[in-house]
Amino acid sequence: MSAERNTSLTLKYSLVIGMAVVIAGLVVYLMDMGDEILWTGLLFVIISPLIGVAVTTVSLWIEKDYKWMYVALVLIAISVVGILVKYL
Amino acid sequence: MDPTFLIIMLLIGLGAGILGSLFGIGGGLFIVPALTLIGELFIDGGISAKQAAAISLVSIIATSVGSTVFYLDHKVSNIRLGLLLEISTVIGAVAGAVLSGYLEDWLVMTIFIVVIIASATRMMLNRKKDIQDDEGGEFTYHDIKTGKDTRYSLKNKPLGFVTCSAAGIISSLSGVGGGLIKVPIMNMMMGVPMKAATATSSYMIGITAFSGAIIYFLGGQVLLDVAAFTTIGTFIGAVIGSRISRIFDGSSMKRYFSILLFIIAGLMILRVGGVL
Repeated sequence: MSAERNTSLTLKYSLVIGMAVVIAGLVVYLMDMGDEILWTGLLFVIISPLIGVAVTTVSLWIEKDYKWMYVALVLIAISVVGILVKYL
Repeated sequence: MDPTFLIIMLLIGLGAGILGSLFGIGGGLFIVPALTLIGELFIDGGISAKQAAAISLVSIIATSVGSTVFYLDHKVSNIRLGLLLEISTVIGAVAGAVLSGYLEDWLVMTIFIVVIIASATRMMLNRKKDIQDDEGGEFTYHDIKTGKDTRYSLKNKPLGFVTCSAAGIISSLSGVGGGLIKVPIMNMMMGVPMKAATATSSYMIGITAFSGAIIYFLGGQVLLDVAAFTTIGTFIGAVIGSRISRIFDGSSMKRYFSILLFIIAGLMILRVGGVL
């Protein structure tokens, strides 16, 4: 499968799972039974773009499209540095 | 939390998601003022700018991912270009965070308004011409409306890269998503067809929003229930918006995008003037 197809499937499943957990978490939260499930669901939604980039990187490696794989790796590295700069 | 407020935010998220997925923008420009202005009516002490930005970033991710799935399935997005330009955007965003202590807010907003009005004017003047098929093109995008494949090559890559860094700086300083600037850069400077540019921008905004959202989220600054309702709204909006995109061709998309830029410039002027 192509990098596009793998990325699309990954994003689809991570978002659907994330949104399902968010909705389940909302029900539990609105019944005053804690916010842990809602927190987990939102976290899943938030990290889905990162999971997508990781899968794209692996797919490009499998396709031996090394030029774009290195671009993806640089993006991951710079994003991590960016998060650290903002966090610190 | 007042259920009326949550339903209002779901509906605003829905609208922002439709616009965001159609035009490759985040929709934060609509969500942040809505949260702060409407939040004051329903919550004691209102919602702070930081909390609004945090909720907006989470909902932008749902817009991005929701629409990217559709655009990738229909071969509209260019993820390779998205990865490349995202590097320059992140570099710009980090530089913006460093520069934020040295530049006045009004100056940044003025630069931003001038840039989007200039982009809108140029797009409006050239709206009839979208990128034509290039036989030796490196990339292909599928036009869902016409069913045709269009091949294209990237032009002015170094200039596009540098300009996207500048977009990242402005975006980081002004708090407004870079899609408004990156779509015109990809289309007018780099030779990317309009619909491929908006779809690629949709993919990129999720990655950009992730780095901000995760920090706010782990720092406990996201109001979970408000974020959940807004995110559900933007997700549904993104699914609807990406499907609506099939009724537009490249040139009409350019016209509507330029109109949107003029409207946003107007909103920004109101924000600088303290009205919003």
